[in-house]
Amino acid sequence: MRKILVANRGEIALRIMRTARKMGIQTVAVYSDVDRHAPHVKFADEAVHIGPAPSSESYLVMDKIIQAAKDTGAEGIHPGYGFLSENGEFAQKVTRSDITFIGPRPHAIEVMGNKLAAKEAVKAYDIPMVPGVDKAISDVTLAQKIADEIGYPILIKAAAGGGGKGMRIVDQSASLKEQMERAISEAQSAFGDGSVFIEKYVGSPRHIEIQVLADTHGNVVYLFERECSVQRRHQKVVEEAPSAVLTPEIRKNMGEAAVRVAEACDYVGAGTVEFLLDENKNFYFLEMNTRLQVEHPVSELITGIDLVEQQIKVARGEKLSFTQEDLKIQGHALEIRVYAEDPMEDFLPSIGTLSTYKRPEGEGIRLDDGFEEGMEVPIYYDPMIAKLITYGASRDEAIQKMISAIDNYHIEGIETTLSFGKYVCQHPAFISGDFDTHFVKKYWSKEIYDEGLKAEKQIAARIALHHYLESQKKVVVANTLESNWKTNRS
Amino acid sequence: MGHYLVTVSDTPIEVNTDTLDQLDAISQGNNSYHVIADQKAYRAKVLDAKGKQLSVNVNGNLYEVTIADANDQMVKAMGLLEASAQKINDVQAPMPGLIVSIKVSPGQTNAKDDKLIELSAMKMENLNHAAGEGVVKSIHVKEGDAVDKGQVIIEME
Repeated sequence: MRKILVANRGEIALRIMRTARKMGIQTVAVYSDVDRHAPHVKFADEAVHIGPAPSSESYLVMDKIIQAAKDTGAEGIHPGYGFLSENGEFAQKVTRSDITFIGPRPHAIEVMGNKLAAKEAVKAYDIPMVPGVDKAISDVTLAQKIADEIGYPILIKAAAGGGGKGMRIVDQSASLKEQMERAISEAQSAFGDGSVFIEKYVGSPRHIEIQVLADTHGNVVYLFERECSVQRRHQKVVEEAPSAVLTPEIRKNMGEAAVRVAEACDYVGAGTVEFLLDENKNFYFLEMNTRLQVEHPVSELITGIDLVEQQIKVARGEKLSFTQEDLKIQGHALEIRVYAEDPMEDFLPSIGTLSTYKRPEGEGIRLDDGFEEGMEVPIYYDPMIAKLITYGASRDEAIQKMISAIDNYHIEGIETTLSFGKYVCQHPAFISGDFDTHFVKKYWSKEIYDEGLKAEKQIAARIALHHYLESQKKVVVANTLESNWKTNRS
Repeated sequence: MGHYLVTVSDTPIEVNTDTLDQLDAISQGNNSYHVIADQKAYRAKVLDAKGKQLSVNVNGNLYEVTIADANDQMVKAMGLLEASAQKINDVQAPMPGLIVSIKVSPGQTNAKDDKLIELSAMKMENLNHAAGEGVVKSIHVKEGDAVDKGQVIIEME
């Protein structure tokens, strides 16, 4: 493979191209009207314009992307994450056009893309699952009976779901009927598929996932876990590897279970098996993501393995050059997703021009981004503009590096989740490792945050006023007034 | 001299110039200061100053500061009086985004919690619900329009 097309934009497109270039592979970018100035377009060896800004008319149009690959002679297509990365039909079409799809086979994408089909597939592989039903259910009486058996609270989930849509927690049988009807209607409008199923609701869960890697020769390894419990709107904001709470024994059990999930769908390439971990450290299979994850860098830093390089090698038909025994965890890595969102306003989107954009630099700091100063953050795509990753010998060191990296990352023109990231890094619950997916609900509010900054704001007010008054003096008269402010520069 | 109203990233703080002189701050040159307050150490730096608008970094956090003297405060108070004449139940965009759909039309009476407009940005959808009962006077946007946060999109009677 001497040339690949990256069917994506932003930080991930750039990140994939960097590895490709390192491997001596030519890169092709695709871009919409609003992305002409984007770094991924400037970095690539070739770039193909694929249409207007809305992704439904550009980054999601399979035929345009495949045509771009054909026109440029690209031998492989890397889908990144999001967009077409988990679309079995796209993988199929790419393969049929005699282009290598850098990812799993269409079958694995389809099976794991549906929660019920995924459960069915892994059934025979001894994978721990949350107690519940494994088929779609619409009959309320039957649902009542099952819910009584599992015990409340229960969770209603959409089979085709994701991102928390169509999800409902039910505390008692009296409200089951109403909640089920709502979940079905929500799932129908969000995914065009109203199938829902019932599971036991895990009270204070941690979200822990295992990175797996499989070649086409039957070898599957796991690259340990990522802890992704700090979330807002069911989407991750802070991730780390390893988790602060897994014992070597649980890690091994989860890793081996993840390998079995991969085997259950004949997985090829890099994938992620997501688990829930309850307060008693029991783990349950949640789903498998059949693509490169946003948070893959933390695994790269603790294992020393470039996952994109591995994806490309596997796609070329190469055997994995290492075994499970060769893999060791070294140090600790932490990632903050920098979203163009205002954490003070319920994490609503914040759009604008990056009037200031200064990257933090230093040892142990990795910044995967796709923006430059002066660029506008477009309203059409995902709000994530960058990922700030730090690495240290210990968890404490990684956290401290993150705090100073955030302090040295200057973004003006939009609000971002950096302030939230710093808050998390300084929060006792996060520092101790004792937190779950309810972190935001339990500990985050504008009021709490403002309270913590009260003293700093007082200082800012006085320093600013002092500065202003001094500058006025300089204008009006020569500085003859005696000031109580001491100076160490006489 | 005297009283100033200093707004630090949306928080109004009253500062008297007398108390300013009691602050234990040493200038380190280059607009940097080392401050001790209640035994706590703060490193502050004025990054940008345009008259009464300043950016100040304290311990790594950036604050936008606006200074208002007695005169400014009076002008602002008058402005507020005028602004309050504008109806409070006009519907503003809760976030920047694209208008996906408009669920009401001029002349229509809506009840509390009725869906008014659907707004989308960065894959996130936001449905704006009526805060109370009202009659739609005019709609300032059409489907597909881009709006800024706080922009008035529906005017009520």
